[in-house]
Amino acid sequence: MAFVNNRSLRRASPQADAPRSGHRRLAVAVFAAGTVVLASCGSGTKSALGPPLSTSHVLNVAFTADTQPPDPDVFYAGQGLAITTSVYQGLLQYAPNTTAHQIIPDLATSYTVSSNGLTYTFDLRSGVVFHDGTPFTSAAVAASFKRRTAVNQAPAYMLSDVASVDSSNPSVAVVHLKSPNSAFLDYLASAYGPKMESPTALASHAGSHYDQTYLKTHDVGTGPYTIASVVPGQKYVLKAFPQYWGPKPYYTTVNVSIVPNMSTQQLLLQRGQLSLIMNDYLPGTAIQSLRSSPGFSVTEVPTLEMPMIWVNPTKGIFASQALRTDLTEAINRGSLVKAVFPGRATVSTQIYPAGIVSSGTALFDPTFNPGPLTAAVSKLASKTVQLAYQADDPASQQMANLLQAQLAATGLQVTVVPVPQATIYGWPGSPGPTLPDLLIETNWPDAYNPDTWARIVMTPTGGLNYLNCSVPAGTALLDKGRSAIAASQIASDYQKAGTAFAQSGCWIPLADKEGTVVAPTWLQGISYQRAVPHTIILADLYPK
Amino acid sequence: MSPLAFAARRVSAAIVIVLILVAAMFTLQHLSRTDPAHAYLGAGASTTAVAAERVKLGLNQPVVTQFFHYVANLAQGNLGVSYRTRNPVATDIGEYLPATVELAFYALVMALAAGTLLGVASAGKWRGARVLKFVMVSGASAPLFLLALLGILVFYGHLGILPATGRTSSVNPPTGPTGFLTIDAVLAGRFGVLLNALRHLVMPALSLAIGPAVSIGRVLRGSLMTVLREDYVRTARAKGLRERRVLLSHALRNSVGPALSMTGLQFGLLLAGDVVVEQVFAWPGIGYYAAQSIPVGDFPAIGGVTLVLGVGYVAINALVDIFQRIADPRIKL
Repeated sequence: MAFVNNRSLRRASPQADAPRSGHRRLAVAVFAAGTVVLASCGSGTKSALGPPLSTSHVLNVAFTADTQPPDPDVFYAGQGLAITTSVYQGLLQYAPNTTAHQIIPDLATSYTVSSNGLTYTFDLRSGVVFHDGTPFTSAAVAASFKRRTAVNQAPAYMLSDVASVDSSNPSVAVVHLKSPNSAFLDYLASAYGPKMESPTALASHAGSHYDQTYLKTHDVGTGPYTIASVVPGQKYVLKAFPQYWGPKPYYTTVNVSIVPNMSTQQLLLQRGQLSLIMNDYLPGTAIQSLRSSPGFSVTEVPTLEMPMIWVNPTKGIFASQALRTDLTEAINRGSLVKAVFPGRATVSTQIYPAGIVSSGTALFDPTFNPGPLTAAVSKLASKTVQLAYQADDPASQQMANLLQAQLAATGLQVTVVPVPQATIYGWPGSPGPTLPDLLIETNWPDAYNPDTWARIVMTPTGGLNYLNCSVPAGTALLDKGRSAIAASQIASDYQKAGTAFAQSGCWIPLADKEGTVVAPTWLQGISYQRAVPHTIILADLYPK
Repeated sequence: MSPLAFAARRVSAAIVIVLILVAAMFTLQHLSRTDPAHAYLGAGASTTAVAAERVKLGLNQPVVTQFFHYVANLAQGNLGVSYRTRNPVATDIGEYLPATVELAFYALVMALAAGTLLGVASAGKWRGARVLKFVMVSGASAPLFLLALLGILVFYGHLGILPATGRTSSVNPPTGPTGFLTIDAVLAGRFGVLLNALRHLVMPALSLAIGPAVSIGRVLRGSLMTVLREDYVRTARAKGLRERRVLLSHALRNSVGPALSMTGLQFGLLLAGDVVVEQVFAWPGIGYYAAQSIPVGDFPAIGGVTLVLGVGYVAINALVDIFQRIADPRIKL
């Protein structure tokens, strides 16, 4: 910028500035007052009555952020599951609308497992047609498994034990494992599990990256919906697949738009431009308001989401096992959960998300008692603790702030630091002293199986073992449970592994959290598949 | 110094600034402790997959080598591949940029129009000038996100006269040839789409424009007040010209220099606010693209957007300086 310009600006400023500060203060005050008045009008009678009944066959939903490509062998995030699970199907699935761990058929009608746990035989559903019109056969199982392994993105681990797939009989797929894996059926039932993809379509669009370019904007699945169009960053349009083998969905078109702001999503819902809000990001006050509005229903959907504290055992005061134990007792989890997730979560009592193992096992249920930590802290030379939280998650921030206050009462000096999710992903394997003392984040397992939680969160090679805690006894039991064959042995090993992990004090489960779906009262058929959030079954929705 | 030499020196300075920006971006990326391989593959990726990806991304090479590769790729227009969308960043930016340019253009037009009105009305002590100033200063005093949300609450939520999100709600809007929806709609003869697009533009453009408009208006008012005390203005009045004509025909033209300079500065602020406004209004521009990329540590995307916005800002300011030098030969670099 040429200097003369700045001089000109400075010369001009005093004349403009003289009356400005007073006006500005008044303007700010008036603006603030106006904001309060208008905001207070936000829950007027129109929105309270809810949007009128719509019998249109178009369902409008929104994500808060654009999703990863809806490619089932790449996708490993949250909200986009609504698309991938509507478009693709696997061999198995979890029974909908139950919190019980129940695996039921999907594209396989039945299965058997050999006595040595190495061979899985699946009888395949007949009459299933891919969206490209080709029939579903065992060749698709082999091709889909092969592609997932070749693409080698995060969900590929689920097939790392697969040795081969025998597809000689078109209606039977025989999967041979290298070693027994007690979690394998859960992998197949998981929303992130291997989905069936048309071998013909895969061959037609392979390119140089195993169809990854094509599958950003198209699909090769068998689900009730097919991807009709994608406007990157703006909109996904799903259309009902006419040759779908199951019940035909009421909504023949599903428009998925991207609306980052939750207040805007709420307004769109209230004006009938969104059919429902199926993500979990509405603030508590908005949920309470909608819960009391006669035109809307708020449905709590069970998930396996678990807000949790990671404790760094390799640095600072929490290198001491005794202090980690004291810390677990010093946190008033009840008040924290009540404040952050009112009516939407219960305090965890197990190291695994609720229901994954039998109740009364793998316990994590310390009695609130800040005394031991207060006494221990009073003897410490350094009382500083760094507490990190996931930067883009308001609930994590709220929990971090409350925890800071709780720990301050014990004498600790806690610094709260927001950290982007992508940075947190890079922590496993990083030198412990460079990481914070504590981290708060919410996660969920990939499937309804203890291995898909503990192995990723609590073992040294786990991608979510952010603060690098190692519990060799727990890891060994986990390995034992995964390779066991007898159900009782599997359950026992996983329960004991959970106990070992819980006793380490490296992880402090806070809550078993539910998902929240807000919809007009006329929208029926809200079905879900437990395990991961964002798995509302769009094909089941219909107006009253 | 001749105008040509001035322009050459100004362009050279702009290039140096852009190079510094590139180096700063590269350094920040390395200081961030975000592992690109993890960001690309996801949290559950195996250690072997992460290691292989690091080699593929060239992260196993010395930092200096990585920097030279980075600069060489940028020089060829290769901004890398987005970890999130899995598309080349240049392709993504090509898709998102027209929406931002269109929004910025309309916001700038609104800012200039409102700023000029504010400046002239205040300097000329027009009736209603104080009310106008009060309203505009109120708007400019508010945080941008709050202003945008309030706009949605009032004009969409309560009055229902403007749409809340997106660029258009028309079915199958034209997608070319320019990428600017308002122009493409005119070229396609679809005036319904044009109207719809303009309605979608009003709130985001106004949110972006109000801050710069007040700044431009203040500078213009100050400049006008100075010019209105000049001898030639007194002469014009003495000739019996009406005050409005003196203001608009004689004083205004000689007062726009500082306002023009302020417009260049404010354009930078406008681009900075663009990220917030696009996020609130789900406006599919590069600010929205960047906002979606930040939480997942998509550095190629963030870096690409930063570079485009940075180059745009530097270029605009260089042009403003050059135009001012042409208008006023006394200006030195």
